[in-house]
Amino acid sequence: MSDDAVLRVLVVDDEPVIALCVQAFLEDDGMEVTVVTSGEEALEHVGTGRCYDVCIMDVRLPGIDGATTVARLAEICPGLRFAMHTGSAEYELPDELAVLGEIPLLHKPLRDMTPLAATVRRLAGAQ
Amino acid sequence: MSVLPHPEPVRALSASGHPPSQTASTGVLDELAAVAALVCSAPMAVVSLADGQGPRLVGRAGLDGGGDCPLTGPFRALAQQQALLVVADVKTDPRLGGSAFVCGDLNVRFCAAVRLPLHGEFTGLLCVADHRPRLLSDTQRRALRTLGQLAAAQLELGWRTDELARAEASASESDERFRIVARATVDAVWDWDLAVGTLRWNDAVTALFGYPADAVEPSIDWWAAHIHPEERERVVTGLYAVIDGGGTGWHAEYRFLRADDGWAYIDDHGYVIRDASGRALRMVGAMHDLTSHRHSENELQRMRAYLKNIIDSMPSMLVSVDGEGRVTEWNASAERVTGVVAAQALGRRLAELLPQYAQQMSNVRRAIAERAPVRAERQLVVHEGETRFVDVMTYPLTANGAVGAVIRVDDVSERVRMEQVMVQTEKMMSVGGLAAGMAHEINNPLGVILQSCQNLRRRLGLELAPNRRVAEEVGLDLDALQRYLGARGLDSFIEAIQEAGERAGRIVADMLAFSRRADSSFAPERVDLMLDAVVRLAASDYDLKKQYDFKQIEVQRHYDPELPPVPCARTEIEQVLLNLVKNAAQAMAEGGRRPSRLTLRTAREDDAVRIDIEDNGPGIETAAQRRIFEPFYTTKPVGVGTGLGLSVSYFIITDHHKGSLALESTPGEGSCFTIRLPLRQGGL
Repeated sequence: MSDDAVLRVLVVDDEPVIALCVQAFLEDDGMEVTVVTSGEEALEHVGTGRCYDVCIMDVRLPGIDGATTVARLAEICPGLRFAMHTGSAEYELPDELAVLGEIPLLHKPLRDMTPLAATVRRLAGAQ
Repeated sequence: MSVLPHPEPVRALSASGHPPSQTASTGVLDELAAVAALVCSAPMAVVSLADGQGPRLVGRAGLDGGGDCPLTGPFRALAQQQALLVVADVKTDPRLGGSAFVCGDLNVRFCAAVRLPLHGEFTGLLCVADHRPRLLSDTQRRALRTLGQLAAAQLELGWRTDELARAEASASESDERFRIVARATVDAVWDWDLAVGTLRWNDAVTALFGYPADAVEPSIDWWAAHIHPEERERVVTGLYAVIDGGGTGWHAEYRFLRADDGWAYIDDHGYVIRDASGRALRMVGAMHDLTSHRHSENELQRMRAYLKNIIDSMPSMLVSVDGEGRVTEWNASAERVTGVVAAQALGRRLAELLPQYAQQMSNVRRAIAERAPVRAERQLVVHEGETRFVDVMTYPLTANGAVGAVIRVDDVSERVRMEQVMVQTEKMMSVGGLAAGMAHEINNPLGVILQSCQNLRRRLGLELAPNRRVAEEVGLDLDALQRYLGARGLDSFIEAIQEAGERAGRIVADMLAFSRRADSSFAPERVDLMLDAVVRLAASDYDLKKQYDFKQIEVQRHYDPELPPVPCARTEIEQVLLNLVKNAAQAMAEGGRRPSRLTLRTAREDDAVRIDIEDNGPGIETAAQRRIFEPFYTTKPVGVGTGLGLSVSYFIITDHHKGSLALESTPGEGSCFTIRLPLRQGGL
């Protein structure tokens, strides 16, 4: 992917305003951001052939949880990179996600979203 | 062989206490009667004896029959009136009424009697009789008189012999009594024949001292040889002093060697028996063993001392009082706590000795009245200006009719303090549990607040390219908007929202520290490096910069160069150190009057590392010291601290690292926080 290509980011969060904030910040940074509020919705989006570079995934979700959604999305779209965005300080990545390479943990609340944008770029660049 | 010689067999006592003796005299008097008959050429002769109870026949010749006297009363009466009575013919003698013998068939015609010269109440006659009337020759008369004297002598001899026998029998009876008494007593009874030199022992001597019977020698020397060497001379000298000095009673206490080489404590009483001239014949005595008595006395003494020891070594103050509140017992702890020695306390009223316990007297009365202990817990007592917590138990004493109570006072200040720490830890644990559950829910809205603020500021600013584009599209002058935001203070509001959100985020993060697992990776870390890193961090800390210049603080480092690395979770310990350093810096900034000095000290203490963080700030008030580790307790202005820093630190040190965190502070001089971290952690 070239540097000037617009990064496509999928944000999954059941708290719509959080997703909205992340979307606003990343869009201001020149990215293309899609927001969904559940794992099922995310799988539906990716399943219909839409392609994303990075997915920012909430851990606790109604229905399918974040980790499971990540595993399934990775099956559908092997090139997709992930970051987990969690409100729990004690959250640890499940072992089965280890095969997917680096999955950074972002802890809520993000007082500054600049590192988030940097992380997304880094993940996309390492692709 | 028994050491006690058996007394002579007891001789049978005489059948009657009266003579004539059937033992010594009978045969002799019969013979005497026979001689009298022979001398006088008479066929019959009798010896008759009479006392207040009547006459009896005690000797006979030529006459059969029992012991009854054959002589008639008138004849005996007549014969007693003269030394020799001769009746030529009984039948014709007017004085006798025709008969001299009661038994008429004997046909007594001639009768002569000589009076026996007896002592005392007795009268006796030696009498010869013939079947024909006749007279006695002079020779016969003389012989008869002599025979009468002989008979009298024989009778007297018999009586004396009987008396002697009785005396002997009586004597052996008293021997027997001695023997029985000696056997019955547990004392060692001795009987010392001073003339012969032998000393008889009873059986108890073997039982008392454990010697076999044949080891006990019947001599005074054996006894003396077994007296304790230190006492032998005194005892033996004293004994001879009594004997030689004409005394009767002797007494001594001494130690006597037992067969098992132990010493028996002996109380010995002896009596000297003397003859009429005062010569010492015998000495008898009894050795009483006081050992068990001494032992029980010693035991009692020992038990008393033991009990006193127990009472005195009790950390509790033990005071007993009588019904009027006067002190009857005052143990060592009471002396120590009050500074009043027992001798001064005894007999005085508790209320005047310990005014702070005066109110306990109502409990004393209640305990006595209800005969049940009264417990008063956590009583606040001010002692020498210090407030202490004490538990006061009052036990009634009603034994043996005496009325009183024992008051036990335990200083539980330390325990109360410990409990407060426990409560605090519990509180923090529950805060931690609560925080873990709530964190997620709180972090989401906090994320909304903080991220929205960030987006707001970015989208209100001039830097972002899309802002200008959108502003132009809607016909807004961005520069005018900037001025408006400043004039109306809107940017400050946004900033305030941001700061409030950040503070709430820190509180949640701090609270989460309580629930963090203790096994978070421990590694050996150098304390000096951690301290230096923390000082650098503090110097550049944004919050601190706002309030004062850390560079103004003189930092003194007293690091122990030999200090080994301590196993710990580095980030946690740094968090604690930073917290303490920041607190110190803030405190010194408040003090403000003198140059601020922060002293960092490390040292090894047995199996622990000690870290002191000392400031010369205003110090911490005593009341605040007690609460300083409580969650949400803060002395800082609202908004400056979360009130969790120290309690989190406390939790990290004590719970996660099994160390300790203590505070020493003198208001006006400064504070010193001391961390102790064990050098050996559970698994390391």
